[in-house]
Amino acid sequence: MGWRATHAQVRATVAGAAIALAGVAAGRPELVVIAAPLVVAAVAAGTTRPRGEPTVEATTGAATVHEDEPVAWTADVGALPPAALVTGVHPPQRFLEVEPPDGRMIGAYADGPDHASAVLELGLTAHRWGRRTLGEPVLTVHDRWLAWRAEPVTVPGLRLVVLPRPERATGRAPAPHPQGHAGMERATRVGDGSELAKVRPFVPGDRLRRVNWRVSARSGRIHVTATHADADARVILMVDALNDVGESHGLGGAPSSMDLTVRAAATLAGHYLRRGDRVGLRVFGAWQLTRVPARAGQVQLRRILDALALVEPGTARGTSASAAQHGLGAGALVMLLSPLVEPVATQQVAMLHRAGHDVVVVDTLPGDLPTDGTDPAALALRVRLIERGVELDRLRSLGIPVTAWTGPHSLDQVLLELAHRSRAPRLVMP
Amino acid sequence: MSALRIAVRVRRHDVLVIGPTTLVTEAVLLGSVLVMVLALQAAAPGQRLWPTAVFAVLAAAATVVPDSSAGLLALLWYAGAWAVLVPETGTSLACAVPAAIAALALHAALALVAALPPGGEVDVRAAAGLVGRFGLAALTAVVVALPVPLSRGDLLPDAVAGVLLVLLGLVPRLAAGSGEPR
Repeated sequence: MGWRATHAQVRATVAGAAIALAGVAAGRPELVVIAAPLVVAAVAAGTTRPRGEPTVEATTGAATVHEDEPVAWTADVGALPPAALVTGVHPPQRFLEVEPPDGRMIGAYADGPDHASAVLELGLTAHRWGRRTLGEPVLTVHDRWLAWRAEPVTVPGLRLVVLPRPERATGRAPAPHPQGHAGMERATRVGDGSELAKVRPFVPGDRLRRVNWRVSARSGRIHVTATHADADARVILMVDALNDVGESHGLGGAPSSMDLTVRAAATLAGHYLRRGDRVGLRVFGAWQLTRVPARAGQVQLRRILDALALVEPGTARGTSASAAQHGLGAGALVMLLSPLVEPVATQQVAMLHRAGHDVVVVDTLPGDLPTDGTDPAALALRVRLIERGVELDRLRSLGIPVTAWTGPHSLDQVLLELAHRSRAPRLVMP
Repeated sequence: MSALRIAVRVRRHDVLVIGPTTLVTEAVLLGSVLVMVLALQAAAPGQRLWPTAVFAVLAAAATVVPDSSAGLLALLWYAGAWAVLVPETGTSLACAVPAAIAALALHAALALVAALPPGGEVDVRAAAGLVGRFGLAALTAVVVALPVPLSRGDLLPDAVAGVLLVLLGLVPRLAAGSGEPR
């Protein structure tokens, strides 16, 4: 990094010298008066030309944040000449809010901790999930006369992984087929748990703490309180990343179908993991099939959010979407999050249903698609939406619940119906 | 200076449109060009106006592209216009001092605008340092102008003129040391 004369220094030197010489040659003292301050500025800047090279230590590498979570970027510029002025610009990017606005950074000598350096600070807030490499900030140093400028330093851009922000869901609808031994779901079998099943007469082997003294006193026989066992369900979130319909405006703005899908998946994962269930993730339609095996715990939520953040919709390279349903196992509650625009997604649902899984389809098509007008794109969209409506009716006629995602409570009613249906007596044909 | 801050709210943040430094710098740019034009007109009353108009255009171009040679052209044009239009009288020297200070102010403001990113704001301490340094440099206009009328009337001994010139030589060193944080 070397120091070069700015246009200001050239201006002061050339204009000052030329006007002063002209004044002397023509015997015009006024011209010498006009030139004098410029000459002084040029001479002062020339005698104090910086020698050393500024050093830059900036935030680089990778960072993982949630949507709308600010991350600080700092650059510590050292080895500065006295009273130097340090400026920088961080390039703008879509879905990235920069504070100060337009990425302008200005620091002055002695701003730093050792009073001989400058610290530039920037706040970066990403408004959409995903993986992105930010633009490269450029830093420039000027000397105290603004006459010498160090060669601009380009700092490598920060790599951000922006995780979708899960909404807090408080729904209490049970999963239809809880199987495990830990969790908050109510199992169909009787066992250790907290939810009342029935009060029945005491049999050898019952624990004394289960004795219901009030009923026992009233009936004259010892009765015990039986409870449903606590169990955990296995929930598989299937994410349709075949395409992204609509335009995304970031968190808080109008969402695209992929925004709705990813944020809904994050919300559902967080909800079921908090209940102690095991949650897994399958993504189809992206450049590689993403599988996160079903596990419980908060670490699993981070795994799922990481996988969701890396989804790049519409980048499938010859992988069959139906491969996503392999190895799901029996008894899993499959939630397919899809805008259901591609027929492949609808076929996927039908195959899952035929395989005996409890399937819930979460429709993530945005509501404000531009279907008006007579241009071919709008016309094609209208036709496709009509076809899609027919396909949805077929799914419903098969008994597959389809619900539009409108927030964390979208699934409560659907899950309640599924749970009732799973407990209802079934007609088995011989 | 916070009263000068004009901001609009975009999303959840205030976006600064015009800040105090920008406003002051713009005022200095406009004011210095105005002072230079008035000084030229006062020193050369009744002369042609188009050289002054050309200077104003060049100065305006320099404010649009401050990191360019437009500022240099404007200053050279101004000096040329002065040499051609202004007759050598006692009044011309009196007008040259504000013109010189305004020329330096124009130079400094252009340098600052060129150094900052568009819409950038320097803090008060850095701005004060710049004002101090360029203010000392501006004083030399007065220092240089002072001996001229005195020596014309034989009121100023050569020795005193020499001392003044030595002081003039020291000004760059004094100016170079100003504005450093203690």
